[in-house]
Amino acid sequence: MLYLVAKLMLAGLPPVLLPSPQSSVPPTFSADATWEQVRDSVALVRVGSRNAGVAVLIDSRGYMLTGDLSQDAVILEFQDGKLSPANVLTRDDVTRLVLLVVPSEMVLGRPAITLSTLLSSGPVLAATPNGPIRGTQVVGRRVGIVGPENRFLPLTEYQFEASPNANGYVPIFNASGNLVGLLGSAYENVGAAQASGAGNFGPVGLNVGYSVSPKTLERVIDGFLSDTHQVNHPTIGAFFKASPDGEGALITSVAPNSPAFRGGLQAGMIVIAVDGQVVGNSIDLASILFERAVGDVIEVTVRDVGTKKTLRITVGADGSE
Amino acid sequence: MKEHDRHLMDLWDGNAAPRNDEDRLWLDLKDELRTLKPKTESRTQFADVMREVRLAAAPPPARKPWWKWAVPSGAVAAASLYFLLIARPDAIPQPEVNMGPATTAVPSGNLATNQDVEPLIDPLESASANDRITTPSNPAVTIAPANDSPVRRTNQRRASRPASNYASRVESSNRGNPNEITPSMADMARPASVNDSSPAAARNGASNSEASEPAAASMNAPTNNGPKVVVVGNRPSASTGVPRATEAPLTDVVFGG
Repeated sequence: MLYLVAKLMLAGLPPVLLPSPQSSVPPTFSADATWEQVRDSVALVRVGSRNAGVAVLIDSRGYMLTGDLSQDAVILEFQDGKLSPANVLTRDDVTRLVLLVVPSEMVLGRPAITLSTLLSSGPVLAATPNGPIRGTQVVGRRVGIVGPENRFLPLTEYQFEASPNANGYVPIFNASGNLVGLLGSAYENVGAAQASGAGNFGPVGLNVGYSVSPKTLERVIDGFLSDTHQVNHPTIGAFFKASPDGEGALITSVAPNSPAFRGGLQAGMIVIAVDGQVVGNSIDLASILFERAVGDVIEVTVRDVGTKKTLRITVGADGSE
Repeated sequence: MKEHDRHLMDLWDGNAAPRNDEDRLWLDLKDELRTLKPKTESRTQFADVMREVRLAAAPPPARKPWWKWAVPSGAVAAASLYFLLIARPDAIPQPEVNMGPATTAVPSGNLATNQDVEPLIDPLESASANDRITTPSNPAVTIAPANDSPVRRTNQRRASRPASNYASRVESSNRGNPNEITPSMADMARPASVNDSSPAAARNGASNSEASEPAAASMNAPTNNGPKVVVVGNRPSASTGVPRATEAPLTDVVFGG
C-alpha cells in the first residue's frame, strides 16, 4: 500500500489514498487566540487589597459585568495594568449579577464583548483572577435553584482543567471570544470534603462550575443596558414542588398579594397545565413560568380536591407584589 | 450616561466639585488609587500573572531519571532473588515450639495417642474460671472468665481509641462500637441544614451562618433515582471563593416562581 502511494505521489498524481490534512484535522480550540480576543476587555475587580472576581466589558459606554458584589465602588485592574475606578450601577438579585460603570475614557480601544446565546458543548475559556484556564461546557442546561427564594434558574455546567478559585464571578468565553456565561458557583461534594483524609467520593467538586444560562444572561444584559438598568424576571409569587402522585406540580404556598394570590391559586392545588402546555412535574412549571414575560396573562389549569379548573394569572416582575 | 461619565472625569481631573455622596466616593477612590499606583509594578495577582498566558498545554511531567526507578527496582529484585534462591524460606530457622513432656514423650516414628497428650489437656478440661493450673511449658496459668479474655480486652481497647479518620470510624463502627457513627453515602451528600440537628448535618457544617439558605434547608438525603437539581448556596465557599453548589433530588426541592 505504502509503495503504491509513493508511486502515485512520485508520478505527480493526487494521493487520493491519503486523507487531506485539512479535512482530517478538526478545527481545534485555540485558547491563546481566544484569550487574545478578550484579554483587553476583562479586568480584575479589586475591593481594597482583595480580589473579588473578574469583570467583562459588555458595552463601549463603560458598562462592565460581574457578580456578587456588596460594595458600591470598586477598582478595576485591566490586564495591561491600568487601573480604573468603577461604580456599581445596578444589581440583579436573582442571578446576583452586577453592572459596573467606568468612565468611557477608561475603556477606549477596548472591544466590548458580545454575548452568544448558542448552547453547544465544547471548549471554553474562563478568565479567572489567577489567569485564564480552559474548560469544557459539559451540560447544556441544568436545573438550578438559588436562594433565598429558591428561584428556578437554568444553569450551564462547566468542567475546568484547574480549580477556578475565583473569589467572585468570572466570565466564560467560547472559541469565538463571545461571552457565554459567568461562573457563579462551584460544585462541592460537602460530605467528601468533610471526610478528606480518607479519600473523596464522586467527582472532585472544585473543577465543576455553574453559570447562568446564556439565555438568562441575555435577559440580564438586556435589562442592565436598558434605560432603567433593571432586569425584570417573571414571577407569579408561588412556591411549588413535585406532586406526590408524580403528575403536575403541587403548590406549597402562595405569597400574599402576589399575582398567583390574586389569580386564585392556593396551596394544595396541583398545576397540570399552563396555556395548554402539560406540566409533568415541577421543573416543567418552573421552566414555563421562567419563559414568560412580565405582563403576560397565563391560563393555569389546576386540580383542586378532585375538580379541575383554569385560573388566569398576570405574570408580575420579580420583587413586585 | 455620557454626561455622567464626563462629570466623573471632570471630578477626576479636578475640574469639578463634588455634588453628592457618589461624587465624594469617587474622589475617595481616586485617593485610594493614588496610593495603589506605586505598588503596581510589584503586584503580581493579576497583571503579571495574566500577562504570562499559561494556556499552552501543560508540559508533560518530567520523567524520572533512569536510576531513580532502576536502582530501587533492582534492589527489590535482588532481595527477592536472595530470599528465593539463597535464603529459602524453609532454610530460615523457625522458632521451636515447646510442647512439653507430653508430646516429646511420643516415641519417634509413632503417632501420638490420646493417652500421650492427656497430661496437657486434663488440667484445662477440669479448670474453671479464675483457677490456676500448671502446664508443662508454663508452670502457672490463670484461667480467665469467658467474658474477659485477653483478646476481648484488646478489642475493647481498640474500640475505645479515638477515631483518627473516616476509615477508622468505619472500622470501629463495623465492630459495633455505638459511640462511632458511620456516615452513609446519603448522609454525606446531604447539604447542611439549619433545622437539621443530625450528626451528618453537623459534619457538613450546618451553622447559623447557613440560616439564610432555605434551599438547602428543605433538602433530604438525595437518592440516585430521578432528576437532580443544582442548589446554589448563598455564601461563597472558602475553597473556591464562589457559592457552593450541591445536588438534590427533584422530589425534595421547592421551587419559587
